[in-house]
Amino acid sequence: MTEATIPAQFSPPDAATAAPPPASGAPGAPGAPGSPAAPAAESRLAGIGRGLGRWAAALGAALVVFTVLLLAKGANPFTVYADVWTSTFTNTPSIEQIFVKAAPLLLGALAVVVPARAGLVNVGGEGQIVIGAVAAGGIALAFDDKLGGGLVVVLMVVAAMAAGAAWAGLAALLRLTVGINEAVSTLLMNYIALDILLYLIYSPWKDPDGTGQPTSAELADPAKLPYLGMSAVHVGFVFALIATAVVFVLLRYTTWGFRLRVIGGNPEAARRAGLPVALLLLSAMLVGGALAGLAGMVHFAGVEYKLRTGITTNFGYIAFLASWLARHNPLSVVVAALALAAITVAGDSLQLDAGLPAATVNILMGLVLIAVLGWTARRKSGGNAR
Amino acid sequence: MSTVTVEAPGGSTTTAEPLLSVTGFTKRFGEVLANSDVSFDVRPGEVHALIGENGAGKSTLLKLVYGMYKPDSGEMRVAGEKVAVGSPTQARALGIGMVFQDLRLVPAFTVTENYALALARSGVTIQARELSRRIAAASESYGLAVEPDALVRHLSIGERQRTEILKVLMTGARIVILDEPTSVLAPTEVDALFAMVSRLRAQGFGIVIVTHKLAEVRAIADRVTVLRGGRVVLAGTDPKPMTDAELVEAMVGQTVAALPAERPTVASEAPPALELVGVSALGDRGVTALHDVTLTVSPGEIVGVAGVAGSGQRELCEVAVGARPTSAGTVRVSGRELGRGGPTAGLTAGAVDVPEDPVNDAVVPTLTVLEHMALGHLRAFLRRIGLDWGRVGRHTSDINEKVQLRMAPPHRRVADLSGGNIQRVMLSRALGRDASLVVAAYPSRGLDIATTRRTQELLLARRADGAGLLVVSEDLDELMSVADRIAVFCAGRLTGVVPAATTNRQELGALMTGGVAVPAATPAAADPVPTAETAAADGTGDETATDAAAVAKDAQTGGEGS
Amino acid sequence: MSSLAVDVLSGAVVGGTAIMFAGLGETVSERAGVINLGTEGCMLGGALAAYAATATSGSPWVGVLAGIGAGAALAAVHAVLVVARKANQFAAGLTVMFFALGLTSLFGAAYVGRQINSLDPWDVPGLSSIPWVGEILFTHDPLTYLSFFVAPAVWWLLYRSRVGLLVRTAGEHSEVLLVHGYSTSTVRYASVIAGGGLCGLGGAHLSIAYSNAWFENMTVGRGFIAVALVIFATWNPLRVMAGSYLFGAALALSPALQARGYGINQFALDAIPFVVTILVLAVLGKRTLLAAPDELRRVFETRTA
Repeated sequence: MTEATIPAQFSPPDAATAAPPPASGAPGAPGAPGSPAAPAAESRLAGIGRGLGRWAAALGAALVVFTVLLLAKGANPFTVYADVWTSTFTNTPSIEQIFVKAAPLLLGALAVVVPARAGLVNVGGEGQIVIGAVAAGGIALAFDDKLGGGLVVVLMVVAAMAAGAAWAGLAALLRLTVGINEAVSTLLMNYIALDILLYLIYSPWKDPDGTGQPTSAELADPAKLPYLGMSAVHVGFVFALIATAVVFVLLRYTTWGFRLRVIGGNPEAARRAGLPVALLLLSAMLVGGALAGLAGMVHFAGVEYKLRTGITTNFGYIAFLASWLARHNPLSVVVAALALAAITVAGDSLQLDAGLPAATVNILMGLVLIAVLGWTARRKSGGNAR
Repeated sequence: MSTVTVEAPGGSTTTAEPLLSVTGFTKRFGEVLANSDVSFDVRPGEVHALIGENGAGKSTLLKLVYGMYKPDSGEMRVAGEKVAVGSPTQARALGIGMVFQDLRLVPAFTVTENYALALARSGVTIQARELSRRIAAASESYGLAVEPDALVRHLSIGERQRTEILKVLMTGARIVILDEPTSVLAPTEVDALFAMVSRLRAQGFGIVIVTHKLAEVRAIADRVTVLRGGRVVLAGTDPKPMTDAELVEAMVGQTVAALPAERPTVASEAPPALELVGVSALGDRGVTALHDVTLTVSPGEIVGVAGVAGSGQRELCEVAVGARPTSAGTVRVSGRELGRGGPTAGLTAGAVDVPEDPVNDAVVPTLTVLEHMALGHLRAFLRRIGLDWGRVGRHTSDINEKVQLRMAPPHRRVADLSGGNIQRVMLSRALGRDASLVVAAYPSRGLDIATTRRTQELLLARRADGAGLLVVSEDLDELMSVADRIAVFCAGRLTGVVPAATTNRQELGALMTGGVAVPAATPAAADPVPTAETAAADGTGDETATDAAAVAKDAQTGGEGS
Repeated sequence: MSSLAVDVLSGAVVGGTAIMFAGLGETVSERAGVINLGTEGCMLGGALAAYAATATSGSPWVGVLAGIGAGAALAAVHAVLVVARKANQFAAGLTVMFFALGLTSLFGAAYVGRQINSLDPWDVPGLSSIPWVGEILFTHDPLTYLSFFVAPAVWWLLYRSRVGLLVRTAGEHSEVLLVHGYSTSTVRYASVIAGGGLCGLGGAHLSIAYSNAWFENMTVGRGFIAVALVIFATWNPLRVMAGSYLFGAALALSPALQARGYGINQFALDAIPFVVTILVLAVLGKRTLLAAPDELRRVFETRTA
């Protein structure tokens, strides 16, 4: 409300010069906001230090709780940790596995980052990954022995990205037309995507020569993603790094990125500034879905080679957590994806070495997230400066 | 804000022991001294007005008294007993009741349910039937009509206020604090409120009323205390013998220069800046909020918009810039029909706005001031890839130089700015550009007196440049001094358009409550230019127009004050 | 052999019970302004705790209590994150879901395939012999009968009791609570934890009354359906009850058809509850959000901060 009425026709004005500010330094007085920028650098360093400290504390706390749980289960945590450490980080195949798993995780996390910039919550990575893998699988079934290697891979990438985008775009359309919150719709669509996959591998695409659990037929060699040099890491990880760079540039330097950030901060302000809000929201979701679809293709053509029941092993959800871990920053996401990939690989070791279910690592993942969400950088807004 | 006819009992400043007294309250927030050695008291059967500018420390003082803040030093006594109030609950137990400006009622609940939050402190159920009987009884005994079963959402602002006051009384308050109670009321509702306050005074309640309208201070208050910069500059003085100039000077600490009286007519061949023909529009809840409005704003004209809060002003402003679709009629900005083009069409046609609710409608908390400057005019800064931030920076400093509103530095995030500083960003953005139509809703909201003045000068400067301006304000004095014509709305209908120079509060008040409809006036260019003489002449019919505007008129015409 | 309709409807009542408990719990939580996507996790936790406690103690009622406790404990984690630490509600909920998924697979491995003394169906004397209605409503397990009372009870608590008024105020306009000397945090903690308890009860119904088994991730999305259900039931416990039977019916359709030898693909049928949820939300459209408690609507609107 207007605090003070301005007298209408007082004595002649002192021309255009603004009246001096009120004597006091009361809140809201114009002098207040002008804090100099000089000490910013220092406090920023201190801030980073504090941030790292909190991170370490959060991870430490998560490990302590996990240890207690292992004890409760009757396992000796120290032998478990030692075994997991040696079998995860001290041999090349395991380290390579980390990069292999990080590829779909990184892409899946970017699929959360982009919509998040526009204020959308994409929890549908899991479904979009599945649909991407299914689309790639469909192309492969039709063409993998008919077309040259390079071409079929390109086709698979395009199909997977298109399918993932369509699946996510459906959720965006549901939000824009009938107002279904996308967090809810993408979650539900995950289950539908899974049922589509199951339907396909149980009947039309079932490998007739397969035994045991039904799967689709294995990819022909030209359709498999090549390895990097002599390693067991396929080029999917490179795809993921390129995608990260592209997303980073798009979000940070383009008008599109700026517009998404405006919508993420206040959709009504964006609308009034004349931005095509609906189109931008749709585009953010389409790009996210395409990235998740690519994640599905990469995992399918780089690792699995067959569509099978447990093909995603919760990659979509883990990627969602990775994005939150990185506070939706496309560069930090690389670190978060690698870290969570390492935990996943450690989970496999856990199963082999300690005889614990692989899903046990979900506890550790949950704990890390709980610690990070609750006890690090409690800023209300995540928008970093340009 | 109204023709207040309530008589304060002459010389009722009793010498009885104060119901509430505060001595030496000091409260510091970081580097800001919000209250410094503030003393204040209220006696039974008196109305004590507390006035001051934004940031003068009024709300801090209220929150200290009501237990929402703890004072750094100082003491408080209730009925002579020294007390320490740690929470609103304790304050209420001591008989201190607060009616907040934004009324703390839950719109989705019934009146009874809202009362239950305050009154039903134990038990399994809220005993709604019993409670609604008690409400009805209290409503009768205090003479405040309140309907227990009504949904608060369906009540008018005035009714909600009454509901809140009765609730406070039913909790056993002896000291009733009213925080800016009149800012949302129509003149007739203000009269009703003051009648109610007088009744409570007669019943021995101690009443504190926070306001910034000097006419009201004189009409209702037995004593007035003025705060400035966290200090008491005028303590518990009888306002009756004081001139408004004295009160304003106490509040501001300086004399404020007046707006130029001369308003040259701006000749322009341009099409009307804004043309509404038979425009209707739906409000947020899907009910028609704007009915068949026809209104023209010419280039070089300021049209003020008056009306009780929620009379369609918000919808009018949004329709004018394309931010709200119309359900009937046509909107043209500078001759271009907006149609279904939305805000983009408005922007393209040359409309800019200062929205009514910047925080919800225009501000992106995570962005910086600089980014907001770009957002206001995105198309101007596009490069092949991304935005030309260098150019945005230069544009921003140009604007700063031009408008002189002391906007926060460009790198600051808007989330960290106060309401007043956000308003400066909005004003700089809207008034620093060459737009053919400026729609400004409550432009001086949250600003200190000096900046308010500067803003009004800027509005006039835009007028002189040939822009058309639509200015909404709840402050009739501001409208009468700035506008060429005033369009008055009641319940979404245009009830009249009157020349600002020849109108007065009675006429506006009548139109605001749906009284006589005056046919839409001719475009401003044909209107007489308001001058000090005509303004003063109009003021004569209005005995209680004792606020700043009248003083100014008196000063210029040599009148002897009221 | 009973008719298909009776089979499906009877299956709807028993199959919808778990979703109903979870939906009621989520209603309480959301009425207080907190959305809990961890519902899925609370159900899983409740399912395993109930199963394990029943297996260990031999009494399914001990299992029921354990299920409630586990659901409440997991919801408490969510409450701490969002109420005390102001974390994003969607992210916190999913984290809790994950945590519960891990916990239940670690501690549940030992119980896979174990036999328990489950809560068996018990025909209500007299009532169960009413044609049609009796078979549909009165031939179930005790937890299903309990649900008949819990839904109206939750409604009464929210709309008629003093505590319910506080819960609803926390979701509509929490500042008002503060002004009247209540603590919004306390009200929200209590609501989220109580809601988690109901979700746990839903999980318990699933493992010790409906499937009589424990297996990893046995809730398969029922918790998420419950969250969606609450939205289209416009936060009204009685509509949650009706909606959960709709899902129960979708779930019951598949076995009922297969038992009659219709060759419909199982996975198409499995997808039905999810498709139905989305369709219903789409048909009801934006009207539902208008009915949302004010503070909850804000959670939906500003999310990634």
